[in-house]
Amino acid sequence: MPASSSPDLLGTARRTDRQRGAGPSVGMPRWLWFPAALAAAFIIVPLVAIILRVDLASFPALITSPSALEALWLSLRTAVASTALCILLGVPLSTVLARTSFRGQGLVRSLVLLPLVLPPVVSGLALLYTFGRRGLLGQSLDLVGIQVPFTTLAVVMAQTFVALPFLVISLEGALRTSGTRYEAVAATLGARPTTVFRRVTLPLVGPGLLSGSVLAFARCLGEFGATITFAGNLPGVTSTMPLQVYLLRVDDPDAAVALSLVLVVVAVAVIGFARHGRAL
Amino acid sequence: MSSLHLRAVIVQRGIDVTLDVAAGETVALTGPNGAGKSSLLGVISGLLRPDEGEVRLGDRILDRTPPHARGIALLAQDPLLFPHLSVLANVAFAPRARGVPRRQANELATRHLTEVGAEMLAGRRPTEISGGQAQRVAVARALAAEPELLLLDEPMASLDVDVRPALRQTLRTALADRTAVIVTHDAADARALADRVVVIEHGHIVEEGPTEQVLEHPQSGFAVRLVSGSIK
Repeated sequence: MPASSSPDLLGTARRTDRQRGAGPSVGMPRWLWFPAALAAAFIIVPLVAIILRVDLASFPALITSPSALEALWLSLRTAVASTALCILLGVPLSTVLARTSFRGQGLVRSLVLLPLVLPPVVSGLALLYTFGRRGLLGQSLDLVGIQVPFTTLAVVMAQTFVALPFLVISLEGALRTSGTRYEAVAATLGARPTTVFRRVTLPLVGPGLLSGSVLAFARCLGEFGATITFAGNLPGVTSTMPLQVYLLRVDDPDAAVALSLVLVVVAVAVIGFARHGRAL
Repeated sequence: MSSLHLRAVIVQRGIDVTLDVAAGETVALTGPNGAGKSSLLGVISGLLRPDEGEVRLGDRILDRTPPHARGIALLAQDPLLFPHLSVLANVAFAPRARGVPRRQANELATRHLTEVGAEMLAGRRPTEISGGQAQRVAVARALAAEPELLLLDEPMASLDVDVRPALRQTLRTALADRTAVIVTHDAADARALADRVVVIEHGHIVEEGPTEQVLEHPQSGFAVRLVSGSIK
């Protein structure tokens, strides 16, 4: 047995290069093309439909109206703040989940990722019964004069609640993939755990952190259910773009469609960005 | 440079070893795959916790000391250069970690790179250099940590045969007056680098002695095969 095949202390046995691409065709059943095309059309046709519905002549005026700009500005501000909060809270959480093991860790992970699949309106209700005036923590907050619901802060909290799992799931994956070999080397070179974290762990998962942040940002920007439940729909305070679209869809469909197009463009940009970084 | 005293018991692996390395001495640890050599390096460096045992470096007892505070550098089979840092920054990593200002750390790094004959690689990325060059840089990076003890875990196993002699020469210079333990399956490594050879089989020391003695008159089954060249 050749000596080089034994894994050494840091687990650095040679790995075969990860196979990329589809490889030689083994003959995919041809009939798969039909449902596949149907699936793609199902997604693409509605997008085309809404784009066709945009009145190009009035589009500039519609998205620069005071109420539209107000919603756009509020959306950007809150989504940026929420993404920052997701990074601040999500990076430590992902690291703890990826690098430690403790009793009940699986349960904690499942619960933390729950907002991924929970209806956002339920998330909003949960937040309301936590931070609302009669909520679990809200009663105490109310006593010291802090009221969270129906404020811009509530928007940020709602967005963070639903977007945090996106960041955690992609960063935890990146941390697991990058492994602990480099961290072990750094430690034997005399670097304290904090130095290792800052100079080795984080830079190595940079791409994962970036793509996770982009996904979280996109989720924040599109947040509707939790926001309207927990933060309400007050123009300039809690009425973000998705809420504005919902509000306008009957009375002023042209404005609703114009705002929707802005959201579609942002979403396309996010997907393009994430794909470019091979994140998705 | 400090002397090393190691006693390690790992029940699950059937390992029970006591090993002493004098200050400035280089010991070659050899034995079949799975005999527990790498585990011993893990215990010494603090990356692996023994069921029972003691690690003493000079007069410091390290059993409760975390890896970063032990003053023990580990050179693995793969160079494991940090891919996001330049070659120079890799070598400057340890000085930077102990608080040396950037400029001085870079000067130190340049000196260590020169020592291993890799100064011309300073500005490159780890992905832009060959395996032999990378292992050379890894040696410089470990030396820059100014370790009291250097551990080498089959440092040449993943290199092409034709670049091994050059690295062996580099290590020979680097280990000359350093306390070091090198795990190897290569009699040439032991001959060139080690003052003493320790053979481990099934978690126990089965033979040890001065390098010449073990290589000239091997007693254990593994040592006989090592010398006759039937390993590899």
